[in-house]
Amino acid sequence: MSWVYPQVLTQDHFWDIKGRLRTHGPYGEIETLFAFNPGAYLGPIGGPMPLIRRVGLPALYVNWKDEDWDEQSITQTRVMSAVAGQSEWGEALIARFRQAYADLERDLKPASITHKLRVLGVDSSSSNRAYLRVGVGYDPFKPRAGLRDAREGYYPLTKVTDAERILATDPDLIIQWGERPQDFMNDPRWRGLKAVQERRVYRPPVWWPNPEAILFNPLKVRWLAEVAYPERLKPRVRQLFRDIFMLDFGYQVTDDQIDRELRLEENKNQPGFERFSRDYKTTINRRQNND
Amino acid sequence: MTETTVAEPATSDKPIPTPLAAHEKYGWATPVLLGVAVLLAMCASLCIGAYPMSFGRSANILLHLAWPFPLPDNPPWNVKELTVVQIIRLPRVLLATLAGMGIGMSGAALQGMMRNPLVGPDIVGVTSGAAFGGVMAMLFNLPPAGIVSLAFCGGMLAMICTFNLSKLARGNGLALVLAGVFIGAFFLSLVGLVQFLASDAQLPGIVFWLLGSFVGADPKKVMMVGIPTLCAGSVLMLLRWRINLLSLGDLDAKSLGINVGVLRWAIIMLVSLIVASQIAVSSIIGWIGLVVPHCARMLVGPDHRRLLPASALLGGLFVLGLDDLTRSIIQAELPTGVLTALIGTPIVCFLFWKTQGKGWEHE
Repeated sequence: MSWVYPQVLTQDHFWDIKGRLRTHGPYGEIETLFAFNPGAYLGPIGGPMPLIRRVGLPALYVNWKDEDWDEQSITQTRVMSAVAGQSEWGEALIARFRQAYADLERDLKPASITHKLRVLGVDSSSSNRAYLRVGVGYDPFKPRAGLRDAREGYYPLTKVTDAERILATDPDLIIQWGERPQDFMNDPRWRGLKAVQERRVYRPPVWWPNPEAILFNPLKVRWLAEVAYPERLKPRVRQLFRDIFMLDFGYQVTDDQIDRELRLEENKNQPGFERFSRDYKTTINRRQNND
Repeated sequence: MTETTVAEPATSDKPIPTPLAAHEKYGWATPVLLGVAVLLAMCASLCIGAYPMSFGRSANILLHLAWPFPLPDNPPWNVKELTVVQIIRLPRVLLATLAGMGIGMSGAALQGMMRNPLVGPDIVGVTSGAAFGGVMAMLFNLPPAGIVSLAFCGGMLAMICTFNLSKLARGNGLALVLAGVFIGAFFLSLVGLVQFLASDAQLPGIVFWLLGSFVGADPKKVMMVGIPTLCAGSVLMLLRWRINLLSLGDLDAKSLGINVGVLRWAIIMLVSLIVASQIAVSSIIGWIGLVVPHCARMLVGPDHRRLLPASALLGGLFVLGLDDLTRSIIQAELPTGVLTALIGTPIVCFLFWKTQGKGWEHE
């Protein structure tokens, strides 16, 4: 999202700490970490934090192993805002985060869904890749979005799998991480899948891997829920996306930018995806007037 | 091989023939039987897998596919079942069989050419060299043809280095193996360097590819392995007489009219091509090139006229069987390369123990 603050964020070499460190293993390039000489080190369990503490530098954990993603986001926000001396701002973010989930639950009513759709995430299946990955990246969001894991009953279906096992799961909905939905559906291997026959294969938005979980996780779940159950939810993803950028970054996102973030072009032929387009309401009103 | 006789006793008028070894008696029947076994194994492999489908249903689809008439309008199977047999299992079975055949034959040819039973594509570094070429191609996001080309160049380069290094050490069998170990280690470290340089998006693909697997088999990959393996394998089969002569030693081979240098380089190129094409699609499937020729030699003897086809067929059978195991014994997909190493290493240890003290000349 370097278009938010182009003058700063486009300098990837400055912001991409991961790329600079290239840490392979818990104590990889610890000297580089020391060389940064920050006021405090924030990091996950399993990183170099114990060593940093041992040498007497301030190191704070921002996640715990037992927590789910959402709880980790809350912890990270609390720790970081406290370190920055902005605890109130952090609590406000957390309150909004919880409110967003509560709003979704109120609108979707996941407990009342009798036939929960079975969803599977699939990585690129092109022949240039040596493997297929399933179930990557959004597992904790399924219950909140009223979805079931298509791998239930097929465990241990590991991250790396073969086409035969994916056919066996036969999901209702496929989230395609690595390639265009059209390319995936054109692959003859998948022609028998229910999701392909019903064209319910979607590419997730560009912002999906964004690390600001406290801001974007509820929006990801909302997107999943709207894709899965369009009849239950009013289209709000565009507006929520716009609100996040206005509230948290003071940036007015344009319609073109939202279209790109939502991958409208790639998903335009998928059922229900028209709700994410900018003129959806106009189209609906026109249809109602014609009726 | 010709029938062997003992020296004629002075008191006897007729020679007393010694009993023939089993492989001498039934040597020609064994490759035929192995060929039938491979065909049966391929049919059986098409009927087993992770997808929940009865053996009978798979066999029914298979029969209809083999039948030279259009499929019925209202078949008893659904699209997914047809896809599993026709589009997923068939290329995978062909790929595993062809790859196994190629590696088995390459191992036998190398052992004959270098007159060393401890030699295989893994040992002389060709596997590591081809793997380095493959990961380089993946690093630069080259298309499949690029992967084969670079894997071939890497394999050739490693083989040339090994061969020349062993010649520097006056070329005995141990020197060749040691040279292979050195060169293999060098190329493996280059593979490690490429992994280090790869982006986060490329790294998982490279790591999984290096484990060795037939996941993602498709008709293109079958062609990528099939064409080089069948072409280079056919040439190796044509050279089987000459490999027999080469295995007698350079002096004997030269005295029998063989251009040793040209023949050796021809074999190196053919083996590199076969191994590179196999590695390009399924990465390192270790130990097959070492173990299979030994087993084949037990069945048909050291004559390359029978040993080469027997090694190819036994290799195909072995790799196909292992791949069947990886895709059916547990629900997760175990890389074939891991399983071949787990099974191959004890076999190599056993062979090492059994043949300790025996050299090539005692075969």
